[in-house]
Amino acid sequence: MAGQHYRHQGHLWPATEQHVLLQAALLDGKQALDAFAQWRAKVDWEDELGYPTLRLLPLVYHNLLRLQLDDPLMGRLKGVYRRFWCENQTLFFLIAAFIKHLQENGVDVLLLKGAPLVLGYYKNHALRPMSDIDLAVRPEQLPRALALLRELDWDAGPMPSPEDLRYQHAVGCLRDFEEPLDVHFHIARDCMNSMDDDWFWADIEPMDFQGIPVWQLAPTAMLFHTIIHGVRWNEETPVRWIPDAIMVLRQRGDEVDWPKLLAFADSQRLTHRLALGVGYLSTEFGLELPETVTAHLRAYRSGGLRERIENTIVLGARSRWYTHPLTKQWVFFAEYCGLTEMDRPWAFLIGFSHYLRYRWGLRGRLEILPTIARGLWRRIA
Amino acid sequence: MENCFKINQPYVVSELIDGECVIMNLKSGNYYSARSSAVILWTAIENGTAQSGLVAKMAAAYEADASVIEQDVNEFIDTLFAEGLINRVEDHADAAPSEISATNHRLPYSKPHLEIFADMQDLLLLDPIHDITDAGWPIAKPTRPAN
Repeated sequence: MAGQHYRHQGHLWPATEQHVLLQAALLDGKQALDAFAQWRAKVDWEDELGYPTLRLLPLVYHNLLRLQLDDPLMGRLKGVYRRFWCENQTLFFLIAAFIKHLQENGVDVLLLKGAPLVLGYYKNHALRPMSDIDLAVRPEQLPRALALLRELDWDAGPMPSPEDLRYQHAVGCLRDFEEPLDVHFHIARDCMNSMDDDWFWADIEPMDFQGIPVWQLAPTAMLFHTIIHGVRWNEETPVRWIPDAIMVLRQRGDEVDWPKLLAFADSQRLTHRLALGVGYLSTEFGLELPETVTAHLRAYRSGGLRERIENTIVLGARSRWYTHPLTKQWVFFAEYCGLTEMDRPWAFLIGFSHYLRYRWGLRGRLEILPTIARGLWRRIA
Repeated sequence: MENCFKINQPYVVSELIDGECVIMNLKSGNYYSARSSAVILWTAIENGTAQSGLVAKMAAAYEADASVIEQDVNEFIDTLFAEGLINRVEDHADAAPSEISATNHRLPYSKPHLEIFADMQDLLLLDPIHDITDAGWPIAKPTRPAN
């Protein structure tokens, strides 16, 4: 793996071992077998592999079985495959009753991320491990959806405040102290105004979840959502988006409306991240793109000032900013740059003061300056 | 009246993985593994084959006395019932005709067996790399409490 854009390996991009494992999972013939041999030689199997790596193993097993690899490790790989098959079957069974309850009560359910990928793209319950289910409801149906959840003994917490609805994208719901359900009122955490949601809701298609008619994103929106969600710095390497995106492209790549996808990315100031993700797939896994798409992404560079500020925390080591109270405020500022549409400085500042009050948990903006003063005083004294 | 069965859906799910049939009862949380002759039986039941058809299939595939096979098939079906994996079908009009292809090379007989692993919650707590044998999850090492 080489190239200038692979900074933050293991946090933004796959670590070298993970990249080799991805090749074993996704490539064909000798390339895949060689990659597995290379991974096997480098990795201490008795050491902790880490959850991101573990979650790739069913796909690795599936590919190696297809390639008829004879290796003593195949038994344990098969075991990982069996385990995640059971885990996903259990999760789907648990969630089905709730989804049916929503659907029967007139709430539109749009399944996001894992469930539609498992059922519609991988077409196999083992290959795409999941720890929770993500679904979206239309914002106006959120109170009804949460009330229906509570009827089935889910802990959905209080109804999100107007500011939660503005600055957050989903409610985490618990049952038996586990958190297996995220109810999104915004489809993507990077696209949080109503017009953005409309773009996604306009690109949906029907799907069947355990016999229940629901919705999933159509290939264009699915690909966009997968890449943008994945290309993000994380303590735990986000590697799943890579096979997910490749699976969407292999299964239904000819249905992806690239001009539409690029126009939306431009409007969201997300083209740089899209270009990074697509560039990785192209360089490392031979994704072939229309020339117009390549030209568009190449010409974009790294975007405007707000996009670049936001990307300091999205693409850079986020935890580094949390080491000092002052730099931590940069995270809030960069987050706000990604949230706001305000261009005029005064409106931007007012909007930021609202966001800061929200993030600091203050009752009113008049408390901002005293809070800063108290913080400075504590540092000096 | 011919005995016919169906899988206890939606509570029971199964998949054939490299010659092994893995089965889960989502209601009880039990996990099962079926191999060799048990795979033939499970697949045939999924396809709606009647009890006499199951015996005939086994007799065509394996070298064994028909009465032994019949007894073993009955025992296997009893186990599937006891585990809540199948139901009896009242109306047998939908039963699939058993397609039996005679072969000159019948396999050595192995009694159909359903391996049962109880309590999925415990099984999922096993580290699928380090707590298990080379046969893979869910077969725990002897030192592990879940074994």
